[in-house]
Amino acid sequence: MSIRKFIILLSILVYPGFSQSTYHAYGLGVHTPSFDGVTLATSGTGLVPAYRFGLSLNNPATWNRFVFSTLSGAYSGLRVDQMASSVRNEFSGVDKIQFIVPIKGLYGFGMGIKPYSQQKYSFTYDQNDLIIDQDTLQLSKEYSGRGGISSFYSGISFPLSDKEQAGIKFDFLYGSSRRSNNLFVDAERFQSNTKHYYSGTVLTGYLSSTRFRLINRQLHIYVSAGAALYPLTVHQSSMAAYQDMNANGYYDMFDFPDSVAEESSTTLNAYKPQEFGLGIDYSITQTIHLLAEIFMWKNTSDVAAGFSVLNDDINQWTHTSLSLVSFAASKPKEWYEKIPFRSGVYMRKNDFLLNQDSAIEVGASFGFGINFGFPVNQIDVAFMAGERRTGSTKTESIRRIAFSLNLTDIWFVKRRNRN
Amino acid sequence: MAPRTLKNSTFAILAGVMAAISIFSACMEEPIPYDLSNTDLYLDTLSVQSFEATTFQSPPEMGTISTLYLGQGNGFSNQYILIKLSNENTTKTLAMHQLGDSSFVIDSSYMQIWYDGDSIDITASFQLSYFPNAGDSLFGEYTSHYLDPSLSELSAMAVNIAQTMLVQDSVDTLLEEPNPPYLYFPISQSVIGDLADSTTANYTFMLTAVDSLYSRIGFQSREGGTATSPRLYIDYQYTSTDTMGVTTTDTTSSSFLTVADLSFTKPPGVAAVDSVNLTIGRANGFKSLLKLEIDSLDFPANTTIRKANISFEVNEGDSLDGFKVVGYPLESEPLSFSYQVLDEDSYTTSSSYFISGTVSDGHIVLDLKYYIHGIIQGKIQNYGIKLYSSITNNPFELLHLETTNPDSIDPVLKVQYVYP
Repeated sequence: MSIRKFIILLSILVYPGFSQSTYHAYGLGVHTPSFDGVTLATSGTGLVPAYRFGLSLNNPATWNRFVFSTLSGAYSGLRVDQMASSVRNEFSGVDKIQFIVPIKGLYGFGMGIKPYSQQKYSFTYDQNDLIIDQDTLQLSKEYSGRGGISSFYSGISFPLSDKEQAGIKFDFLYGSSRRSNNLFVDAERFQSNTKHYYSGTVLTGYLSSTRFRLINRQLHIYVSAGAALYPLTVHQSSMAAYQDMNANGYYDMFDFPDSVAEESSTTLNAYKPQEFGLGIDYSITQTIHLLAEIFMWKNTSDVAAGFSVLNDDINQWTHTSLSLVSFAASKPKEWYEKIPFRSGVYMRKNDFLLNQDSAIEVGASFGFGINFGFPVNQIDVAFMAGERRTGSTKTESIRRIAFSLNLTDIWFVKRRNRN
Repeated sequence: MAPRTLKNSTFAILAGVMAAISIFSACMEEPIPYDLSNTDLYLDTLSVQSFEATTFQSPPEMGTISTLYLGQGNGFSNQYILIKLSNENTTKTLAMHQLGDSSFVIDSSYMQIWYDGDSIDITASFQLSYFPNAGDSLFGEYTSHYLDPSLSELSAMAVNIAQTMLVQDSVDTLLEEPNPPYLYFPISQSVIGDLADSTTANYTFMLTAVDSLYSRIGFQSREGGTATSPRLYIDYQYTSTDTMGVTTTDTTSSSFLTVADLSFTKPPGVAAVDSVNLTIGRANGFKSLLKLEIDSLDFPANTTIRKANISFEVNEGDSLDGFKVVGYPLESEPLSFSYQVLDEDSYTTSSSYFISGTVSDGHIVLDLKYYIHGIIQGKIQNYGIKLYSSITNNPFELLHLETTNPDSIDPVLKVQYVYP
């Protein structure tokens, strides 16, 4: 299989497992940290290790501490209940595929593919009847969009000292999204379509330190900072409104008119993210740890609202989490000592470019892992429940579930010839 | 000890997880109610009552009608019919010019023209003529009319073949539906010889009434279908010799169908009502021109027309319900919007942006959706449209559209459009 085919296959597999909600219609969609079974269980962003002690699948600064090469896949599902309308949406799918290789215990290399920002929404609106020439017309609108920005990422980790590790990760952003605006006049559908194609690169640096102690216990610190190496470029292709005569949802030879104007444009610097994360891992006991994170993300460009059907953009968010993790014991005596347990609470504050009311998301999560096979394969499961508020209005109730499968092996080690 | 690779059990678990993913993959999508009143795509309307219009008369175009007319009625005079045969038989195995070859011996031949009626209701004689000394292009089905070629011009060139009356085959049982009457003209050997003469290659026949007909009758044209199309039947013997020197004579028959036919209609005079209103009638030669004052309309960019209808009141009330008017955009600006009598219809039109409407309850609504949208897109100019009677109408019916007393209902162009 060629690399190109492999990447295409991964792109197909990593379909964003996000249910449609209002928030996915802002800007270029909702940027979210990874929702694998470990990260979701701690309610964090993956900056602070929770996969195993000192190891995070999402923090490249820890990859050189991996003992085994690890192939990871994540599957997540989301249910969103709209509080105002009792509309429920559910969706699930493969979320991430990643491969990490430690090199001689000093370095680490990883690559993977995951959603960076998702758009998935469908809105409906019934207008008042319109009386024209003694005809009563029923008008309604239906807008929908899906797709988003994906990331093919690659990173390395290396030691800075015996207590400090560093990591660098490149997120190569790509992908596309499609938006369809529909006006229904009685049963007649008028539609306009817009396509967006994305490209850009984000560079993130990571640093971890095991130098500090607090009340005679280990206090590990994790820091990350990222910025756009090449800000996101959006190529937009818009098709003017046409009458979908055969109601098949796309333009074809049967529709009116027989030709439709298409306009293309390119917007530079549509996404110019800056992000900063700070996390700590405090060892309460050898296996029980208290994790805390704060992660801030900001889009310093202010043009993304123009791509949104809602004419606004979530241009800044801050994610704060507190987690309690019980890692598996290195020498377990009881069965439950083999199982890592994780739990956490979080708050995410979304700030809009135009709307002055922030959207607050709060929730709690828990999860566990199961080791199996050799060397140390692991399945992680997580559940999360939360709700979103805009201003003082509770808008959405969310439930999330995630499974991760982490397969380990020893790579790049010379093996003895059995003959 | 060598490091172990993934064990079979691991692959089993992996397969199990993938299966679980497949099973639990779920998707339940329901649109979320949201106020989209101020978002893209709006419906709006406008109306236009300002327009220029006129009627003109040109010689009637009777081609492509399913009936060929003879006789007089309601002021119309249908004096002659021209029928042009194909130069090949129906199976394209025999060309007309081959009939002059010595290998062919004509046993019998006749021309058959079906009557447009169930039974014989007239006692008239009909004359069939042909033009052995004329060129091939005597008439055009879509272009010729009673002024060109005229009956006097044709009579000077025509050679009589035969005269006959309508006949109708009897049926054996009462239950059997009788075939309609037809004209049976025997064709002599010499006429076949003239038709086979490749130097003239004229396969045109003229049908006239021997005496004046004081009522209008019809015959089936080729547009009525292959079964009833005028045709020439030939029974003949064909002698051939194969490579072994064996001579064979076959007796067979063949028929030659019509490729063009036209009845030539002279319309009655013009009444005052014809020139005042928008008048449309095929056999009268009345057509209308209509130009809407829409150039000053400022539609938003990327507008899509939902409806664009102009309605007229019909002077004849609902008596002409079902009458269909068709039209196409003009390709150039008319010189005048006053009543005109023309020797030829010189108003050329586009072949696209078809316009049509059918009279219903004494009104007609013309669908201008494609026309208006073509103008908005800049694909056509607003030179106006030419309206005329559909070939599906009775060509002798005359439609008058009221334009002299406009009100809020008629005539008015009403447009519904969607814009971003």
